[in-house]
Amino acid sequence: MTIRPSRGLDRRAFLRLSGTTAAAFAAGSLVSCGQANDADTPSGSGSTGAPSTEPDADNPLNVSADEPLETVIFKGGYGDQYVIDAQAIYTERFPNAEIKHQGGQELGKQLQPRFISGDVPDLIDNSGAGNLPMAALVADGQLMDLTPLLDAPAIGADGKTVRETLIPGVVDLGSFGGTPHALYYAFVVHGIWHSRSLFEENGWPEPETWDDMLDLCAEIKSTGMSPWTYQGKNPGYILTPILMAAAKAGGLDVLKNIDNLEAGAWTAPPVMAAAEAFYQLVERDYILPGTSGMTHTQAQTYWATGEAAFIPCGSWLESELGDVTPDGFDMVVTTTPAVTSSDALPGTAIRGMGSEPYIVPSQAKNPMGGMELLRIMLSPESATNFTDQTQTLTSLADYEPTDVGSGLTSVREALAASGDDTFFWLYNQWYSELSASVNETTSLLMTGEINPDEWAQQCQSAADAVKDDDSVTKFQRD
Amino acid sequence: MRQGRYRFIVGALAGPIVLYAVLVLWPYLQSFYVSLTDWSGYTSERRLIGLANYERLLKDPVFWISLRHNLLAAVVLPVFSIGLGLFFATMLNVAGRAKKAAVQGVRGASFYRIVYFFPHLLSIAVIGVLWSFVYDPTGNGLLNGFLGLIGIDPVNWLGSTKTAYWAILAVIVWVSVGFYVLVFTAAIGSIPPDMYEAAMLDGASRWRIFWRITVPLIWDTVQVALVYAGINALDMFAIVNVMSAAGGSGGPNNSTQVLGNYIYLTAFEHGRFGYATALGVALFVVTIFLAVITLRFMRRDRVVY
Repeated sequence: MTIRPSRGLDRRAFLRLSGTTAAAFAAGSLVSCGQANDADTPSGSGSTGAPSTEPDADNPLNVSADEPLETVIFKGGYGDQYVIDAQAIYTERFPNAEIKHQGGQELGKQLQPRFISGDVPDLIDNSGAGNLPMAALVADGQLMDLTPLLDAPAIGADGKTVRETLIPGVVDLGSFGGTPHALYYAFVVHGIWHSRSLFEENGWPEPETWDDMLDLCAEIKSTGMSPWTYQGKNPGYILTPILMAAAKAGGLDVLKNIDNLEAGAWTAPPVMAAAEAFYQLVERDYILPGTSGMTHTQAQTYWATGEAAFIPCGSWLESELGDVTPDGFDMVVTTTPAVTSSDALPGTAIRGMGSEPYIVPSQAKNPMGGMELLRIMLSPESATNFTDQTQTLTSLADYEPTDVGSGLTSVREALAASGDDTFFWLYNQWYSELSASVNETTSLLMTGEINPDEWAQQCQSAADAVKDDDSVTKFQRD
Repeated sequence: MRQGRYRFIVGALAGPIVLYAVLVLWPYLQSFYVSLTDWSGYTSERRLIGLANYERLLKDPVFWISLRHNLLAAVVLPVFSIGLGLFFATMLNVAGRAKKAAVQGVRGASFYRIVYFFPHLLSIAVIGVLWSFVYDPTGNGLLNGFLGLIGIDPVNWLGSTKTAYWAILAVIVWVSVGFYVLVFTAAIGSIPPDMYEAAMLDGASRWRIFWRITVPLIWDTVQVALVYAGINALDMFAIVNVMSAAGGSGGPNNSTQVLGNYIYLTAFEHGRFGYATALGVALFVVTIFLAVITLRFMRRDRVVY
C-alpha cells in the first residue's frame, strides 16, 4: 500500500518539467554566446498562473517578481547575517517580493513536519548537527535539481555560468546520481594544524614524510608537550587525515572505491598504510592523554593553549577558536605528510570540501526565487562579505576577501598549491550509517583497542553491510 | 438510582477516556502501523513492507547492544539508587541518637534532605554538561584531580569503552537518589512512631528494625519505586545523548548506546523512521514485560496497621 497525496506528485511532476525547460533555456543561451535571448525563451512559470516576468539578463531564472520568498538558514559558527545581506540585494531587485527569514539550529526537527505536509521554505542551509538527512530527502524526491541555477549566468563574471565560476568539484559534491541537489556555499580545507610561531621558536620543521613526522613527534615529546590531540568524541576528525593520507598514497581511486562501496576498498594497501602510520601515534604514545574522551572544544582549546602540537581540523578552526587563540599563535594548516615513498598524488594535494549545503525543496512555492538568492550569494560581492564575516572561503573560485587572518591565508595557499589535485570523499554524506560506524571503529583504533588490520576489516564489513542492504539508496561516482 | 450512578460514571469518565484514546492509545496504534512501513520521516509517502523492520531488528547488533545496556541498567540502577535511597531515608528519619527513645533522624537531617534532593531539581541536560566537566579526561578534571591527589593516573572516563557506560550510570544514580529519599521519607513518615518506640524498648538493633519494621511497612512504596526505576533504566535517552560522544552517538563504539538514543539516531540521523518505530515498539514490549515481572516477583503480603 502506498499513500500518495496527488498534490505533491503533481507539483513535483510540474517542477521537473519546469526545471527541464529552464535547463534547456540555459543550454540554449550558452550556445548563443552566453547571452540570454528573450525571443526564444519558453516561459517556464506560465503554467503556475502566477504573473511572470519575461526572463532577461537580470532575471535569467525567470523569478516571479511578486512571489514571496522564504529562507531557513542554519545559524551556527557562520551566523546568518551573510544571507540577510544577500536578501537585501534580492529585495532591491524584486521590491514586491516579501521575504521571510529564519535562522536556527536543529533544522531537521523544525522542518520535518513541514516536509511531510508539503509546506516548505524556498531555500534551506541544511547544515549543523540535527540537520535533515540529505540522502533520505534525495531518495524521496524532495529536492530540486539545481541545474537551472548552475547553468544560469553568474553575477559579475562576464557571461560565465554559475557552474563555471565555482571551485572544481563543488558541483559533484552536491550531486546524487549525477544530479546536483545541493550546492555547498562554504568551501573548507581539511588538514593538520600547528602554530607557526611555536614551531619557529623551537626550530621544528614542517614534516613532509611520515618518518619526519614521527621523528618530530619524538622531539616534541621530549620537551614535555604532547605531539598530537584530536576531537576525541568526534572520531571523524582523526579519520580525515587518515583518509587524506590514504588518498595521497594510492590516488583518487582509493576514495572512489570507498565511495562506490567496492569490495576491498577499506583493506586496500594505501588505506592500510595510512592506518598503520596513524597507529604509530598510538603505539608510541604521541597522543595527549585523555584525548578520546574530549569534545571538539576541549581538544581544540588544549591544542591552542600549548598542550599538544598538532590537531586535525577543517578551515573553520580559526573562527571557531576565536578569542581562545593566544596572540601571535599564528595557526597554519598543512596537508598530511606522505606515508609511502611513492605517493600517487603530489605532496601538496589536500582535501577540499564544501560545507553549508544549500538545498531547494521540490515542493517549494518559489523554487526559482530560492535559486536566485543563491545566485546572488555566489556573486563576488556577497562572497567577499561572507569571508570577511567568517574567515571562511566560499565555493566561488575567484574573489578577493579583504580581511584575512593567518589561518585563512594558509588555507588559501594550501588550496592554491593543491590546485587540481584537491580531493574529497562522499560516502559519509551518502551513507550516514556507514559513516557512523567507520567513525566509531576509528575511535577504537586511536585508543589502541584494535589494530590497523582489525580496523580495516571492521570498516570493510560495515561497507559490505550497506552494500547488501536493499533499503539503502546507492550512489555512484566516477 | 442505579441508572443515575451509571450516568454519573459515564459522564465523568467519557472525557478523560476520549482524551486518553486520542492522545495515548491512537499514537500507540499508529506506531505499530508505522513500524511496518519503510517511512523515511521526510515525506508523506510510506510503503508497507510487512515485518521487514522486525527482521532487521533481530539481526542488528546495535539493537542487542542497546538492549543489553538498558537491561543492565534495569538491574544496577534500582539496586543502587533505591538501595541508597532507602539507606539515606532511614538515616534521615529513624536512625538518629541511639540512646534516646524518641524516633528521629541524624543531626542536620533537614539540611541533608535538601542536599539530596537538589540534583533532582536540575535539568538533565545541565547535569550531563556538568558531569562531562567532572569527567574531564585530563588531570584538570575534578574527579581526575582528586584521584591525582592520591596518586592515581587520570582515567579517561567517557572516552574509554571500558568506563564510559559505568560513568554515565553513576550520574543517573547521583540524580535519582534524592528523589527516592523523598519518596521513602514520606512513606516512613506514615509509619506510627510507637512501632519504632516499642521495638527500641524491646532492644531491637537498628538493622533488625530496618528489616522487620521499616521495609515491610513501606513495601508498597518500594515496589512502585522499583517499577519506576526500571522504566527509567529503559529510557536514559537524555543523559546518554548529552554525555556520550558527538551529538549523542552512544559512543565510543556504542559502548554507551541505549535503545532510546538508538531510536533517536535511527530516525533523525539516518532518516529511517519506519525502523526507528519498530525499535520503539520493541522497547515498549520490553518495558511492559519488565514492569510485569517486577510486580510479580515483588508481590508480598501487605502489612495492615
